[in-house]
Amino acid sequence: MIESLIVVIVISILITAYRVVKGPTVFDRIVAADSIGIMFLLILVLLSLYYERYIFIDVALVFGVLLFIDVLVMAKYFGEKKGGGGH
Amino acid sequence: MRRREGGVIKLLFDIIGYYFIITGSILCLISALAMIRFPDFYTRLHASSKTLTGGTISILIGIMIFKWELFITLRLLLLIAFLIITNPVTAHAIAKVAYGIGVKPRNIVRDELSEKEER
Amino acid sequence: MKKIKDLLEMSPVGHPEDLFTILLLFTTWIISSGDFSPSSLVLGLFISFLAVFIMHSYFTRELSKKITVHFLAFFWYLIVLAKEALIASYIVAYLTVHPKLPFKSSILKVPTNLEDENKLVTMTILANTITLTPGTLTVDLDVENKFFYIHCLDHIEDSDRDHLREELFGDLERAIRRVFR
Repeated sequence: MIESLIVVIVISILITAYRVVKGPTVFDRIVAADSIGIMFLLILVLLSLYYERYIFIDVALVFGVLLFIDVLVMAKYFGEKKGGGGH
Repeated sequence: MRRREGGVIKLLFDIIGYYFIITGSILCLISALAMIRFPDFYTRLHASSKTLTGGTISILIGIMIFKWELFITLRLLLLIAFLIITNPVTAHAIAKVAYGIGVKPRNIVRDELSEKEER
Repeated sequence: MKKIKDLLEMSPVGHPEDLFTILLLFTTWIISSGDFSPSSLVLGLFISFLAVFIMHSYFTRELSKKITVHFLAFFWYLIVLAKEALIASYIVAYLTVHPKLPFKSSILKVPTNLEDENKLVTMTILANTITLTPGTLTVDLDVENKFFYIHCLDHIEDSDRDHLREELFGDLERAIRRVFR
């Protein structure tokens, strides 16, 4: 049961990776990387349920906080008018 | 007075838990599908962010129904609250910055934000 | 002497509302670590005090005071948000799977009438809530004139802006006003 869920989420990650490679602007890649990060967080919670070690849920919480801060910092960096924007 | 049998109530909770988990994984698959199917940047951001948030909290609620112990439920509730609050913040931040740097929406009916940009 | 006075000003001695933030952080520590031994409790108290002392910010002071005083209203707001997120994901999923993609998107400008005090905080919270309702995403805010620029997935043709505001986010405004009363 849990194995089939993990397989479905890994298929979703592979489909989103196509958009990371292809996307015409840099913001497409940021959004796709954020989606891959959240799906990875789901895999961490499911694995903690599968191996019966509930400390992985704390790891998922810290990973979520880091993902949030990373996307905000990337948005602020790539959003300045001068500098390396938009390729 | 007859007490409730444990079997029927447990079956009901199991069916609700399975519904949330299966719906959640289908929503995650639809979010990945939306990333390759939509023609425009803003619609891709919009659709994938919304379906991914809904799918994640659906799977987490399903797990919470299956494993009802004290500290696991509290930690999962903390994770759910954190994800509900921060996913819209990242989507809005990316949309605002992308508009400020000049990514234009195609196929649009009416665009009122461009009137503000010209001032 | 002046440095000691600055240090004392930054700590919770100068601002007693910091105790709410320390309480919320300490509750998060207890939930996340899960054991009630005295060494863990003392360490959690010390770390939350240190976090509040390093970043003394006006925003978290106001927000944590409002959250702890109206705790039940905040919990009800979270439940409303979860329900809205689920319903929104079902509607957008139906639009995605449809083989013909039957929508035309647009960016509209909608006014709001929140109160004038705490304008920045309530408008930010309302912008995040609008991003979670089905079909809308906030692109830009105008804080002085109180406008939102909203990107809609399926265009609604309505020239009366107040009717549009009521249809899109009427009861959310009322829920937020009840939290921030």
